[in-house]
Amino acid sequence: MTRVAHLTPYPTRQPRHGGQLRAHHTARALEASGHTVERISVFSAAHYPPTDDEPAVDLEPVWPRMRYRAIWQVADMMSCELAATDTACFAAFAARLDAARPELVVLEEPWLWPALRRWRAAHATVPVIFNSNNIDSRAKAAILADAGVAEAAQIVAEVAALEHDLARAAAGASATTEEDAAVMRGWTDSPVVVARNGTVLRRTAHLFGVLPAPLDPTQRFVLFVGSAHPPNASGFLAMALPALPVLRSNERIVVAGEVCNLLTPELAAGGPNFMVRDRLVLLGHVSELALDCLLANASGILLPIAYGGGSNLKTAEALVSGLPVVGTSQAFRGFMEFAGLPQVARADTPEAFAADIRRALDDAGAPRQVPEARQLLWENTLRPLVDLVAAIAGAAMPYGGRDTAQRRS
Amino acid sequence: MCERLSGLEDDTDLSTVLPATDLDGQELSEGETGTRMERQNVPRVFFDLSTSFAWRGHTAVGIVRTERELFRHLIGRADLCVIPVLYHDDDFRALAADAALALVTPETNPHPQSQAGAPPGSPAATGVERAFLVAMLRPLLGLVRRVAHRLVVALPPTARGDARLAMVHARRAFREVAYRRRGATGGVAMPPGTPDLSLVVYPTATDVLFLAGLNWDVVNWSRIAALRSRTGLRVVSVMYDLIPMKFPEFLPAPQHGYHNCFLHMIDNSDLILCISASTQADLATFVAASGRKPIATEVIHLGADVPAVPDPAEISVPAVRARLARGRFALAVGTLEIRKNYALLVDLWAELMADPAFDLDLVIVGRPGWEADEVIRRLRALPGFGTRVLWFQQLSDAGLSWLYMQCHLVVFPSIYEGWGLPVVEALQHGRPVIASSRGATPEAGFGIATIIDPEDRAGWRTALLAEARTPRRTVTPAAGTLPTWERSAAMIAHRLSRLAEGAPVTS
Repeated sequence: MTRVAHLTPYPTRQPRHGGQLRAHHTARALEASGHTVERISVFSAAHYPPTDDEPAVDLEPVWPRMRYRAIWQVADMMSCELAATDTACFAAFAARLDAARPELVVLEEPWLWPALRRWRAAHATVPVIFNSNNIDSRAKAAILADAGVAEAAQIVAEVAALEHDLARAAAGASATTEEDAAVMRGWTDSPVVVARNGTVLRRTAHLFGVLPAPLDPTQRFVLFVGSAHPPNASGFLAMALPALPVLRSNERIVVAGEVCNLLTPELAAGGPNFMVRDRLVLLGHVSELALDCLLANASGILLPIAYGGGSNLKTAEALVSGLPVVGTSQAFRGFMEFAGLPQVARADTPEAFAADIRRALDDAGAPRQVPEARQLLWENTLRPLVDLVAAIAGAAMPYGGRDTAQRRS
Repeated sequence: MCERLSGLEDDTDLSTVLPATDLDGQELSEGETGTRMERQNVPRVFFDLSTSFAWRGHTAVGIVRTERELFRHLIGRADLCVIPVLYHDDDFRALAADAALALVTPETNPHPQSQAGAPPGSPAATGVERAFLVAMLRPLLGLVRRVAHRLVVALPPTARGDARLAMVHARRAFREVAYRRRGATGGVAMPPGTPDLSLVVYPTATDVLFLAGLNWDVVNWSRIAALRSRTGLRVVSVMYDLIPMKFPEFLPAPQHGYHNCFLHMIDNSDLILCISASTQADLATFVAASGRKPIATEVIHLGADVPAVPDPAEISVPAVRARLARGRFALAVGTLEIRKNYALLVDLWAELMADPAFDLDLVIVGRPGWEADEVIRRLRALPGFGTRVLWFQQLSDAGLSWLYMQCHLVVFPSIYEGWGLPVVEALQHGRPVIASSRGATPEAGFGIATIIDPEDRAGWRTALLAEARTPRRTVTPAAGTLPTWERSAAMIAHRLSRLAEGAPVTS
């Protein structure tokens, strides 16, 4: 089958946040289809825990030379740019790609496109598939506006130029929603498929009554799991935090994941808050087992997503859990056909959100059967992308050109 | 099977290792959207690994090895939902499957091999440390309370309410600091490699706690008693022997730690698995002598299949290895302590080696134990010590297995045992055994070993000479005679799953 180089701006062996999970399962799905996948990740080893073979290119030494260094919301784009502009970084990047001898490259997110574009100057026959998570020019625009960044317009223009250039150069692309795919089809004549985000089935029933401190079984709680993606924090602050007064003394809103790193300073800035002290639990990053325990004991799952592009990976996980789900309409982007399930409540105002949290807690909720969940497993959601890789690989020139093809024959 | 499979390797997740099932393990079926699933009906066994945790990085003594092997054989079973736990800071804490497997797999251990002992920060150590701190502070806190009371009384009546409230808050703040639960992230310096201990287990009446470790050392039975009383949790424990009660002279005084633990065990175990019929009988005697009613017990013979490929690499001196490879030696395995009766072997070899025709060497594998100075002195004083008499204080399973494979026979003259693991291990390796007639040792000989009273010195001498003159032979027990870990685990799994499903406890 095909030798695929899988380029990511983060580690994927032990995924934590949504982008990592999508990339992790993309590589696995391609391997399951018989392709040989070489994982090549480019990131700062100071920002993610390094593993034996990750990062392939460490950006930490050049991190201080990054443009817009004070604007952490664009650190992904600006740091990856250095893989193209820094001589040593690009040499390491090109060496890994050369060693992989890829017949096709799958690029996760657009940030490494400048480096890949430079490498392709000498390897133009190797097709690229752009596996996008969302329309980044739109997502960054919302994030930068939310943060009040003065240089927002200039940065967003750069992101848009990068996306357009990549989409035009790519042999194919995938989006996580039909809406995003429609936008991308406006940029390119190459095929654009929809491979929405998925999830894995978790067995959690045996973990009832196993809880991370400070929770105990006398407390009922609804759960929000989120990464440090800014819309997670702003959505939580806008939609879920105002619901604290509807919680009774033995009830909590529990937040797990790196989103807590964004919420903690926001909450601290507001001064002492007894409502927060007694009704909100911020756990920070939790292990997979701890997440299973939380899901096994939660009365419901919150998806307070206020804005952003793509589809929310946590939405798939919430739907599969069978627990009551309280989410904004934004949270169901890409999953709208599941929004009518009996356990799902859509709420787009803080008042409605609070009322639905109250209902979830009153529901005494054992999880419900969700046979439709099978559609949301990664092996099914990523099928269009796997098929796209197969189609493009079938038409592509092998790495090394005719010599390789002749040797094989 | 219910363990957290996704933790077994970094690149595995449930979507590939599990079939598409719902949260209760049932196939997802069409047309059932919205049907409620039961949330609390999974019979669970909490397998305590506190001993393996406290002994991680150290050469496993018999009980540690037993805990490790039973867990390795029970965790993957389809008929049992096993959740690994550690006793820590007054609670049982759930472990991820990968962390638990790392604890019971010596190869993955980050610590070098060294002498045994509970390291600082182990469950036992932190529990004791905290109890000590609280006990020390208690008189001081009483004094603070009395002073505070007098201060409040001295204030004008209008200010007393506010002052009391302020003190309540101050007390709460102090308690937050002094009594804060100290998990892996709680600030206590835990040893390297400590797993995530933040997940507290709150058991229910359908759960079973399985204790197969050094239960006098690593768990707090008073806490288990309270947990059992409050939740209906059922407890199954393993009794290895009653030697501290039956032969206190074989152990350093005082014995009240063991005595206390054994009483807790019989008071709080719904079922005690005894590793031999001999131990079961000893337990019945102890129960009666302790004024308790008879309790449910069952005999489970432990496996003896050493999980290692024989390897002589640890025997680094080529001449020694070459001499052992001839196969002309008797092997004795077990801690050097009075009860193991090494004195008999030392005496016999001192006498037999005087005869040039007697060419059987003696190889001992075991750490020095209590009151072993005299026998060690005599051992070292033997004329052939270091050449014809060898003592390995510590060997891996692979090294030990190689010695079993090479030896002419195995000798086991112990005065009393709860089982007799070296006897079974020798038979597993096809080696002849001469073993003691006391305690459970004859039971471990399965009718194959030559059984002689450990005080019958002439009998041992005769048997040794006869074996020395006999060409090397292999004993072949009938298939299924000897216990294996797989079979032991299957029997235990059956018992535990019946209990977890609510079956009544019977002997």
